Amino acid sequence: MVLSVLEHEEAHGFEVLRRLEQAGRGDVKLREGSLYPALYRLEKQGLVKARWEDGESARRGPQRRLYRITPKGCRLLQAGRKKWDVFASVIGRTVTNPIPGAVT
Amino acid sequence: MNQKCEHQLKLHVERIVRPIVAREADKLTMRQELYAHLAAAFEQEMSPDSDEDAAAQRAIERLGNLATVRQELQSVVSWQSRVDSYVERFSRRPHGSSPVMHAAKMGLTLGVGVVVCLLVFFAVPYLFGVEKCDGQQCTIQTLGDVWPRMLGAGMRAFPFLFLATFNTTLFATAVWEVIARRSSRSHTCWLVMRQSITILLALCCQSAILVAVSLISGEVNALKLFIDVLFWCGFFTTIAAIAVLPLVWLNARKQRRYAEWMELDLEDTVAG
Repeated sequence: MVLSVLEHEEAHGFEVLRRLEQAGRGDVKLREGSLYPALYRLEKQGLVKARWEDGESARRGPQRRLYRITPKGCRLLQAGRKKWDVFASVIGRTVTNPIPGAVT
Repeated sequence: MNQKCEHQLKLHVERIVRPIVAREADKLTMRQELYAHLAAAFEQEMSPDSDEDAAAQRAIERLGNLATVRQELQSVVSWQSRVDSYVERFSRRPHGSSPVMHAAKMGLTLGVGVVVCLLVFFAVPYLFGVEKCDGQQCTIQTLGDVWPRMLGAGMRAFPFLFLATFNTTLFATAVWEVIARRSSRSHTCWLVMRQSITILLALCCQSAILVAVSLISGEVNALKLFIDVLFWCGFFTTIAAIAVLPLVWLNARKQRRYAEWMELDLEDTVAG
């Protein structure tokens, strides 16, 4: 999920969270503190790369760390999407068209 | 954001991060990032007519349970970072302890550590027997044959290792104090003078002790020996000091960035 919201544009932690919640249309509520361990894990695996925001930024407040997806992360995201499509279609078929005569 | 709220948010971050076993640089990243997050959450929670304290409290609650966040952060710390944190903790002078005591602790630990490591390194081959050839005669030497010589060499090496580390630590502490604390010019002069005298006195005491040990073991010409030992101790201290200077300088500059976090009192219940 985190990789998918970083696919097109880099973002800092708070923005990642906002995008995830926006994509979930209110159905996704995340415990905000769990985001950073997840980001650090992705960074350690080489799936995202982080950099500190430029010092000249006109924004007030503490400096933020921006994350962007790496080519390795992109590849993993594509593979994950394919797996998810197969999984969703299998479950969808099974749930919507149950085999006649099967005990539920 | 008023100062009280800023302090409250920083204190919450510090309560999460300080107990984590990780490299100080990694912990600083966590601190800055969590604080930036809390500041953004605070801005979001603030509406024109809302109370700043309540907004700060809501931002903190959104982050989740303190112990859980800490545990999750700890779980992603690499083993290298954990090892580095132990080295950092060992080499850092505890708040309030004297530089001389800290230097002695460093000297003793490193001196014993290096001697033991060297002894083990050289002793291992002798466990299996080492062939020594003297002219045409070859014999197999075992640990039992060489351990008195090895132990003697270790005993002689220890004082020099101890003294080199002791002097270097004293020097490093002085440089650290000047850079990390952004001392004023007069305070810097006073520190340099005080530490120079301490190091000089330490060198003289060390030379006297080494000479006394040599005299007891049958050496003569104490004055020449004293000058020689003083020269070599000073020489090695200078070399070691030059070698560690860039490292100390870099670390002391970093320390300035940690200082604002380290000064937070975790027991502060007014803000928390």
